[in-house]
Amino acid sequence: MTVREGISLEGLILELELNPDAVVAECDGRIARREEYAATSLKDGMVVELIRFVGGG
Amino acid sequence: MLTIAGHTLRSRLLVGTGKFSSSRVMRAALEASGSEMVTVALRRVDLADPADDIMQVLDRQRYLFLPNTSGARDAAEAVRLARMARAAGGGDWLKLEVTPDPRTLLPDPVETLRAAEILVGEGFKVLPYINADPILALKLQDAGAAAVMPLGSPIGTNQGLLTRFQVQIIIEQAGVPVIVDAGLGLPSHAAEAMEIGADAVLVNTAIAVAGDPVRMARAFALAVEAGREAYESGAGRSTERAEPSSPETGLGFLR
Repeated sequence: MTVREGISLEGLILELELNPDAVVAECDGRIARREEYAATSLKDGMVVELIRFVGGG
Repeated sequence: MLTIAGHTLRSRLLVGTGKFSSSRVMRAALEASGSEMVTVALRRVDLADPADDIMQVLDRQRYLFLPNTSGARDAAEAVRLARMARAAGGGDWLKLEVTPDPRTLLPDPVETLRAAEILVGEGFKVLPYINADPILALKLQDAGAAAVMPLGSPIGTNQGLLTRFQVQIIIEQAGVPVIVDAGLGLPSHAAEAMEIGADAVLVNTAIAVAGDPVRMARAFALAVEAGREAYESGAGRSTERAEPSSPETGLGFLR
């Protein structure tokens, strides 16, 4: 997907109307710590995975 | 009381949170089950349905989260999911499952042991989902697993405790809690597992897809309690021949 130039990981999560405390983000295969979200700026070509808990056995 | 890795639970029924028709039904069923430990899974955020957030639905003060690694097909994928679960605030508890074959969902013993060794080393409290293999259960225990979770029958099949003989051996040998997981489709299946000495059972499908999940959750809670009471009471042996329960003497007046 395409995002705004210079947006941070936290900005993306908030823009998607997700709770940053309930989502785990992986940027280019590396898990970002919650305190890194705001300072992580997204770059062109970066692979971002947003994962969260769902119901399961 | 059940103690796993130093954590004490009053209820010996663990409940999975998958397949419920709604969050409301799930919450009510969990309440009726009396369970204090619930499993959850990790999946990619569905941007089409961003509102569905189980962390908002469940009270973490009340339920200990046991994230699973469902979907992992090898040790590397399970380890990756485990680390994500912890980063997502899931804590250190982990139901480790590695199921390479989607048709059977049977666990891979080699990859499960490999992942358990890595994750125990990283400080996770690892509860591995395993086939009912007594040798593997001991190896996982030696590797530092907090409990072992042998299957009753394949996930979601509701077929009950097909592995009774092997589970009995696992229970006899175990130095960690034994939680029978998967395939328990009726309260009687859960009671059977508890009667032979399982420390707990984990039920998901049988409750979630029941006509009335709330009442079924209650039924499982009663069965687990009944089975445990029976186990602790010390069951009588079974015999081939009939043994009268009324006195055989004092019948002289009849003949």
